[in-house]
Amino acid sequence: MKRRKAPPLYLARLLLVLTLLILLELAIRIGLINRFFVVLPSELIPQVLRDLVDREFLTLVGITFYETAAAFLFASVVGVGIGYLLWRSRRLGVAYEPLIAGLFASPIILLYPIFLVIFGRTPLAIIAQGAIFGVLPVILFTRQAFAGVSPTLLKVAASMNLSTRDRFRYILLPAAAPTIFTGLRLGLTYILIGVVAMEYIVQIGGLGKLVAETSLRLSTDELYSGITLVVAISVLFIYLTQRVENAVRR
Amino acid sequence: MNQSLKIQLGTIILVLALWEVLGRSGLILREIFPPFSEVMTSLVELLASNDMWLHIIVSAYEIGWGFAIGCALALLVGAPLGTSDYLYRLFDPLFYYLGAIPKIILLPIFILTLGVGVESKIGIAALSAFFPIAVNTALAVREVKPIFVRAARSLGASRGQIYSKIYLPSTFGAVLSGMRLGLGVAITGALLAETSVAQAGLGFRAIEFYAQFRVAEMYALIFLIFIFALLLNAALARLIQWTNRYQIGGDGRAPFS
Amino acid sequence: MQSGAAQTTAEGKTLLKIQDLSFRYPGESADELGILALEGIEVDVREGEFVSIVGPSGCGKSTLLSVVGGLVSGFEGSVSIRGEEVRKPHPDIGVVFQEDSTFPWRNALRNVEFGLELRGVPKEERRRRAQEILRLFGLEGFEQRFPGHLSGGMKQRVAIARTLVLEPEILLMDEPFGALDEQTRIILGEELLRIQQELRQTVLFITHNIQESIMLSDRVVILSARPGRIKAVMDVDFPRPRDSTLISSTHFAELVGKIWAVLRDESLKAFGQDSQKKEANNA
Ligand SMILES: Nc1ncnc2c1ncn2[C@@H]1O[C@H](COP(=O)(O)OP(=O)(O)OP(=O)(O)O)[C@@H](O)[C@H]1O
Ligand SMILES: [Mg+2]
Repeated sequence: MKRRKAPPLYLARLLLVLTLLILLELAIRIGLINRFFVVLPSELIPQVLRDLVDREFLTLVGITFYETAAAFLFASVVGVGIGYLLWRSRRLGVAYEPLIAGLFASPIILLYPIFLVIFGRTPLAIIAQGAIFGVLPVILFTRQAFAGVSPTLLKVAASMNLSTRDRFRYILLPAAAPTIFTGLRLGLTYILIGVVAMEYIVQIGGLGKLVAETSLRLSTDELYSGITLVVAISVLFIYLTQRVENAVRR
Repeated sequence: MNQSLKIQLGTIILVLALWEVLGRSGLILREIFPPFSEVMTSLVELLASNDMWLHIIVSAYEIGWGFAIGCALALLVGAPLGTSDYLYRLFDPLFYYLGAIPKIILLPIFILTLGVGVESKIGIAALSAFFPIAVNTALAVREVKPIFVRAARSLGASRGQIYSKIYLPSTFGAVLSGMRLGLGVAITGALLAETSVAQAGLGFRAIEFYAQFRVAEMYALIFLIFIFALLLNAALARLIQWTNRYQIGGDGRAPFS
Repeated sequence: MQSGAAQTTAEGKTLLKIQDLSFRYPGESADELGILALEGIEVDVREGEFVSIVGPSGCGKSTLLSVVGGLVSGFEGSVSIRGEEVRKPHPDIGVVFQEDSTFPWRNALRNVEFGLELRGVPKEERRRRAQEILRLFGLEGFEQRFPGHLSGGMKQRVAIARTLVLEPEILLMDEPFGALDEQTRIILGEELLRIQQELRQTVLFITHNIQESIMLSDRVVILSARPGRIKAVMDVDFPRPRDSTLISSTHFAELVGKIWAVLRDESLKAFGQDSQKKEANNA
């Protein structure tokens, strides 16, 4: 048995981060780094704590999550559906897989002015783009999930004389579910990243807008605090989705 | 012609035709959704115009430098991480989570420190490229089998020769995969940053068209960027396939953008 | 049966001398003692001789090879070739490993050229020598194939050729046919015999296959269960050239019986060590 979460490693990570912060603090204090560019960690932390309980901040978090959830809803329903159909029709699946994979690897976020033109500067533009972002991995993983169901399992199903519906419900779906979940998690992560990035660029909505606004106010404290919060929330979010996936897959 | 190709081409033609018909039908405002033919006309005009090349050069400059800096840093950091199990496990979660955040929100810091010119875009591009390359490099070095190093040593390889004749060739494909991902996100990062605050560059030009409501030109430019990125990505994928031709399924781990 | 230093009837000068060799793998922490893998090993290998080392699984055979190959440090006792101490990989000692060690990013020819390349041999000559030895191993026509497209037996032949092309004085081989099926194993064994006789190559051969050790060797050294000590040494006096028909002779069967009698107890001990370890792990 491998001990995965060995405490020394955690301690080392903590020490590493602390050391970096202290070094940064020192570098700023002795003037190695200009105070105008980088905020002192000792001043940043209270600022972050103040912003964290701020009502406006919580509203912005709510908006980002709302947009992410809406986009995810679309991406998961449509993505799983299309993925399933692409598996059912092998010909279409084989033909579309590389197209979708190509799109997935392309800079979709650069299309945002088009979304702005079509939907206006509204959260709808962000949701629509987020949905496109997220739907691609869901499609790819769903198709793969069904295609990866072992032939033996299908033979077992055939030998049991199950109806098509039961075959789907009791054999296919449970076998494909883990991989589909991976796709959903990836989709969700991509949506969050896309939503925050879009919010920042077009300055509407939640967390991304927070950073954009603080950057305009020329207040270094607030800017760094905003960025720290967004990074922290993204990291927490990714961590939690990973945990959920692990729990569900087990 | 094989069937998949037929379906693919058919789909693309269908989508473009639909675009054209929808654009002409008047169901959607033409100002919002110009037909494909109009976009193509704009594209030709765009490519013929003089200042277009200025923007292309500015963007290429940012992406080139950003990618080069990101690459160099990633190799310097990634390779040593791969050689030590402890260091790798120490840093892996850090890289995993930091690599996943939307890096564009760090743009204000780059603007604060490097200004609104090309330098801040280079910074974003470098930062974006850094993570996938570093992660893939560390992973590739980690996966070099110790038996290869033992065999090379017993055949008389010096330390330097072990690096150049074992580590380099056996990590090459995976590092290249990382570079492909890195270049992709560097392009995205730089152009996205240009749309936010800039004085020149393709992203800047696209958002300028948007502000001036020259929609057909905006579509044309975005279309051009998109196709270019898609082709570049596909070409690099081919190249990587070729370098990995001796092994079965040799692709790096794909982290987030 | 004799124990201690391995004497032999074969003529020729001593090439490799292993004296009172002990090796301990360091423990996880400083206060742990670690695993004693080898203790008091004494073997002399003369020029042109083929010596086999047999022993139960986990008794330290691969460790012995790493030490003699100069790939590990921190052992007690001494290893010398022609009186020269071995502390790091020595150009006169060639090693063939237990696991597949062919470089997957080089084709067969360039795998064999590897060591020559390191030594700065000009390209033309490198190519010629590599091709020549590949022919000797029956791999003509497979020069351009990458290991991923070669069978296990072919890969192992490439690995042996890669070492032999450097013309080492002594060839160390660690169960080179261990991962192969029985037929391939016998065929490659015969091939090795043929090549060994052709080149008058000195070989120190590690195996846990008794038949194989008798087929190939002038002398068989039997190791005890961990820590590996010399349990017995047996001379094999079949005339050369030999071939696989030897296996059906009564003398052959006698020798197998004798070696097996020594090895059986040790193998049982080794098995016991393993199950004890398992219990300790489960506790
Ligand atoms: N790197 C290592 N660190 C600690 N112990 C080791 C190491 N390598 C081997 N050992 C231990 O040393 C002993 C001898 O190992 P070795 O590989 O030499 O055995 P072997 O005789 O070659 O076995 P086999 O026939 O299975 O190849 C074993 O008990 C093994 O558990
Ligand atoms: Mg061994």
